[in-house]
Amino acid sequence: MRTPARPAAAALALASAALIAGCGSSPAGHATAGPAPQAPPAGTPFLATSLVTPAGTWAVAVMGGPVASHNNFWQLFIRPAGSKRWKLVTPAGVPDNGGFVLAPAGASLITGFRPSQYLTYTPMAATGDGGQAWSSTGPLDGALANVPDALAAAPGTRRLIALLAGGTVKLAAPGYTRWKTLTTRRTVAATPQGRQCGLRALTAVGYTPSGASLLGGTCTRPGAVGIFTTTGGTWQAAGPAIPADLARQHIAVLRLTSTANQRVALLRAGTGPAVSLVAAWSADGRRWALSPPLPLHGAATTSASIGPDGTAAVVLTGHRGETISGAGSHWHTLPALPPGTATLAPGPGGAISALVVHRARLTVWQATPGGSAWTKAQTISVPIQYGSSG
Amino acid sequence: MAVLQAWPGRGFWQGTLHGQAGTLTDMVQSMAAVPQPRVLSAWAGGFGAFTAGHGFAVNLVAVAALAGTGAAFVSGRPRLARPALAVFAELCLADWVLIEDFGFFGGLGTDPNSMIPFVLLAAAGYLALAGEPANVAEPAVTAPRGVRWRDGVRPAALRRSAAAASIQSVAAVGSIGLIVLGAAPMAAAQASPVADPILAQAINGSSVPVNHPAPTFSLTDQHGRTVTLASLKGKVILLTFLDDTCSTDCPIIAQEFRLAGQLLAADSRRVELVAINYNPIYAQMSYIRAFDRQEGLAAVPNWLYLTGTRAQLQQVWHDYGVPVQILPAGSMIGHGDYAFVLDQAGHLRRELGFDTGPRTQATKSSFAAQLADAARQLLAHP
Repeated sequence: MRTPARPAAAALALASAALIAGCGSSPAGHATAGPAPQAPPAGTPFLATSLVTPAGTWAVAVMGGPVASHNNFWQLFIRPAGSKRWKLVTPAGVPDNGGFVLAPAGASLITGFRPSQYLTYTPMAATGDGGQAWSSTGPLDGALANVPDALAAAPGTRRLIALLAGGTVKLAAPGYTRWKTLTTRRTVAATPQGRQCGLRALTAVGYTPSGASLLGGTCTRPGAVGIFTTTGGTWQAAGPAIPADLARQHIAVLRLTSTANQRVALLRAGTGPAVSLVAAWSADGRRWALSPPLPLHGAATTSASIGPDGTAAVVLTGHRGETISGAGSHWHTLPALPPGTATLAPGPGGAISALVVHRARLTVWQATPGGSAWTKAQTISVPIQYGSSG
Repeated sequence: MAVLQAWPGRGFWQGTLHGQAGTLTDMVQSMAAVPQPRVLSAWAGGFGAFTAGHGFAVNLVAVAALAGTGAAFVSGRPRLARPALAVFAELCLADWVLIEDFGFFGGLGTDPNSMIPFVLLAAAGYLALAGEPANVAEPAVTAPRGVRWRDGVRPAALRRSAAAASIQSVAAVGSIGLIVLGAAPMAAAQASPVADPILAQAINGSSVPVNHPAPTFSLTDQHGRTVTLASLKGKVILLTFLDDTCSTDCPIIAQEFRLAGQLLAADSRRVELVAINYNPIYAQMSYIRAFDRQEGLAAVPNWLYLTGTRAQLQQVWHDYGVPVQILPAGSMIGHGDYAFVLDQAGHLRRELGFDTGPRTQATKSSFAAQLADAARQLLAHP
C-alpha cells in the first residue's frame, strides 16, 4: 500500500473524504454486508510460490491490479517436464481474486480457491494432465487459510488435509465432498505439546511419508518449533531442535511441504530486524537437518518456493533472492532479482527462474548455477478480465 | 452532510469491508484506475491506499470537519464562519482533485465539479453573514429560576420570537429541516424490509410485460429430484440464473429472492423461487448445495436451485436468451443478471433486468419488493 508522501498531503487527503457525503452517486458502493458470513481478505502476496510434480514445475503469482483488489487475479503457470517454456493454465470458472493453494496428489494437482467478496466456501479443481484439462471437485465449506500450505494430499491415499482461515483442520477422502474436522488450533494448543510451544496460530498442514497428519504453526515460547504430528490419536511435537544461538527466538513455520522423498520446512526465527530464516529437511517427518540461519537484515520474505530435491528459494524485499539446495549446504545469494519478481522456481540442475509480474505481463528470467546475471527467457501476456469481479 | 457522511449503512466508516474496498476506497480506487496523467492517478491511488488502511480515521476526520463547519455557519457568527469557510474551501478543493478527479478523468457519475459551486455557495453564505449589522447588545434580563422557559414557549412569546428572528436563525432552522428531510427517507429505506420497488426500477428500468409460453426445461434440483417446467404448473415462478461460484452479484440476487419469499409470507406457498445454474464447470450437486448453505437457502421450502449437464444448461440458457461465457485467467463465468416471472400456466409474463446496483440494504429490499409485487399480481389476477 502506498501512503501519501507528506503529512500535509495525508491531512488534505483525509479531509477531502468529508465532501463525499452530499455528493450522491457511488460507482460501486459496497456499503452493506451481503450474505453472512463473509469471505476472508484477499490472498497475501506470500501465496505466490512454485512447486515441482512429475508433470512439471508449477508457479503461482498474482497479476492484474494494482489498485483495486477485485482486479487482482491469481494465475497458475506450468513449465512441463522436459520443456523450457512456461504456459498459462489457470483453471476457469471460479473468480480467484482471493488466491489459490496447490496440493500435489500423485500425478494430479489439486487447486483450492480461497473465496473472496461474497463467496465464503472454497471451490476446488483437479488436473491430471499438466493443467490442460481441469475438473471440479469438492467443495470445502469454509475459507482456506491465507498460507501456501493450507492444503496437502496424503501420499498414496490422496486424502486431503485442509487448514481453514479460523484455524480448523479438515480432512476428506477423494471426491472431497465430505469433510470432517480433524482438530482446531485451540485443541492442539491445549495439549501438553501445544502448551509447551504456546501455539498461537496454525500456518501449514501436511503429511508424513507414512500418512500421519502434520501441522505447522507459530509458537510464543522462545526456541520451540510448532510442528506436530498425530501418534495414537494424540498430537506430538515433531519439529527440529533449534540450535542454541536461536533458542531465545520466537519460531514460526512459514512453509511445511513435501517433495518426492522428504519434508521441507522453512522457519522464521526472531522478530523485527533480527529475523533470520532456517530451512529444515526430514525424510520421516521427525528427525530434521537444519540449515545455517540466514539473517534477513530487516528484509521481509515475500515468497518461498521448494524445488526438486528440497531446494528452497526465497524472495526478499530489496530485490534479494536466496537459495539453499538441501541439508549440509549453505545459503546462496542470487544476483539482484529483477524488479517485480513474484516468485522463484528452482529447476533441475540448479537452474532457477524468476517470475516477474507487471500488471498482465509475466516475464520469466533465467539464471544458471553460479551465474552473475539474469537472462530474459520468455514473456507471457495474460488476458486479465479487468472489472469482471467488480 | 455530516449526518450523511456518518450514516452507518453507507459504508464510509470502513476502508475495507469483508475483504473488499469500502465505499470511499472503492470510489477513489475506481477513479484512479481510469486512464489519466500518472501524477493524478498516483495521488488518487495513494489516497485510495491510505483510505483502505485507515477508513475509520478518514471518516472520523471527515464527519468532524463537516459537523464543525456546519455548526460554525449555523451559529451565525462571522468570527466562527470565517475559519470554517477556509477549512471548507480547502476540503472542497482537495475533494475536487482527489475524489472528483478534476471532474473529467474519473469523476463520480452524477456530480463531477460539484465542489466548485459548493465553495462559491459557502463563500456567498459567509458574505451574507458578514454583511449583517452586529446585534446591539441588550441588557440581560434575569428571570426567576423555573419561570423563564415556560414564558418562552407561550404562544405570544413564540409569535414575538418568530417576528424578531434574524435571517440567520431562519436559515439555520431551514437547514436542519432539509437535513431531516433528506435523512428520514434514507433511514426508512435502510430500516424497512419492504422498500418500494422504485429503487430497483430506477436501476434497471421498468419490467417488460410479455405473455407467451416459457421455454421448457428438465433439470435436477438441490435434492437430486428432476424438475420440469410442467411439474411447477399451478404456481407462480420467480426465476433467475445464478453462478454457484460467483463472488459478486449472484449472492446478492439470491438474498433478494430469499427476501421476496419472506415478503410473500403465506402467499409463498403458491410461489416457487427458482434459480438455474449459470456455471457449466462447477455444476455438481455439491456446489449447488454449498451455495444454498452459504446463502441460508437450504431450509427455504419453495427454493429450487436447478442444475444439469453442460448440454442441458446450455440449452436452457439459449432458450431464455441469457448469454454465458467462460472467461480466462481467473475470472468468474461471464453472465448477465436477469429475472423472469412465470404465471401458473407456465407463461412468461415479465422479464426484469436485475443489475444489483449499489447492493445496499435499500436496493436489496427494493428488488425483493419488486419480485413480490409481481408474484402477488399474478396470484390475484392469473
